[in-house]
Amino acid sequence: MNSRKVDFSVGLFVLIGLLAIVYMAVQIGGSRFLGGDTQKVTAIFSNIGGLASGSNITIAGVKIGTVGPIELNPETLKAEVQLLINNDIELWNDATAAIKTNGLIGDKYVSLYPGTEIEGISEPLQGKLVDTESAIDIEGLISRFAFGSVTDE
Amino acid sequence: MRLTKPSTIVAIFLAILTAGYSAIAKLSPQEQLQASISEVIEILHSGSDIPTDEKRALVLEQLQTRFSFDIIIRRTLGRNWNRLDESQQDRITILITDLLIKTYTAELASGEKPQVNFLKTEDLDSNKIEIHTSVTYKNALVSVNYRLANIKSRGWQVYDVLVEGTSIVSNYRGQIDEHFQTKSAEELLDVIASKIENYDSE
Repeated sequence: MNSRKVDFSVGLFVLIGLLAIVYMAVQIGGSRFLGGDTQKVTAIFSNIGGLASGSNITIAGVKIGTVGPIELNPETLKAEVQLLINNDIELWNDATAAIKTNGLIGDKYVSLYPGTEIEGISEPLQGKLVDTESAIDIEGLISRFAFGSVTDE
Repeated sequence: MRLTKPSTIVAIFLAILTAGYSAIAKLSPQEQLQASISEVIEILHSGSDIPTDEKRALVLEQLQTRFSFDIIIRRTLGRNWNRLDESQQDRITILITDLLIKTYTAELASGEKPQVNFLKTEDLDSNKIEIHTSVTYKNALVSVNYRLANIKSRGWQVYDVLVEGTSIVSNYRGQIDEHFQTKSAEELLDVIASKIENYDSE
């Protein structure tokens, strides 16, 4: 009788320990298996320039979501980026997204403008977010500047 | 006989109208935009015979067929749009359109003729397209992309322009947001009106 009680409490202890490990892994990984508190929106970019899955999505610098899986559309050769945005952010049809950099060589992040609700005009965002600004190609700009200077008369 | 004459005229008139309309409708959005842009450049470089005010009026008339300035301005103001009352909304739409026309006519009419190459049209989604162009102006090559939406009763209309990948709507929205942090809508109208006055006095 006594040994069964000990066995039970050891089992319970191990179980609680395992649950704690799982909880910790989910929290540290930033995954959201448990809560359905995000909305998924696919944004199309012609160049994501180093944006990675897990990067931040911000409004006015405040984090409101994370970047999900990124895929290449083989037909259009454009990047389809899944944005996981907090449910309390309402998106309208004039929403825009831009890829920006923290400082000159910092991490890439998505700066989101959720759009404006104007009575009788605005509609909630439907489908993919296509009004985007891609990462600025600094090398391309420099080479174009150099090319321009060569052709100067 | 007397009765058929006016109706024949009406029929001919309608036939001409619909023929003209279908000819316009057959042009692709890229061809329509290309025609408008080259027309604007022609007006700006039509010499000094036409007074500047008249040129501006002609440019505005030409651009309004392809550019929805009201939509561009509403998007530029973003959330600040709702802070304006109706009369202010109307006034700001007129003032910003006026300022845009005056700024660009002043810049483009004085220099050499810009060379615009229309490169391609790309579908963004079922109702939006992007027209890629490159502009050679004063020895610099700049990429200018027009974003158009198919709007009911207006056809394909430009709602944003990207210069080197940077949207003018987002760029101006940032500046207007900064203004509204410390100042009111009425002050914004005053700032724009005084800028227009500067162009008028030149």
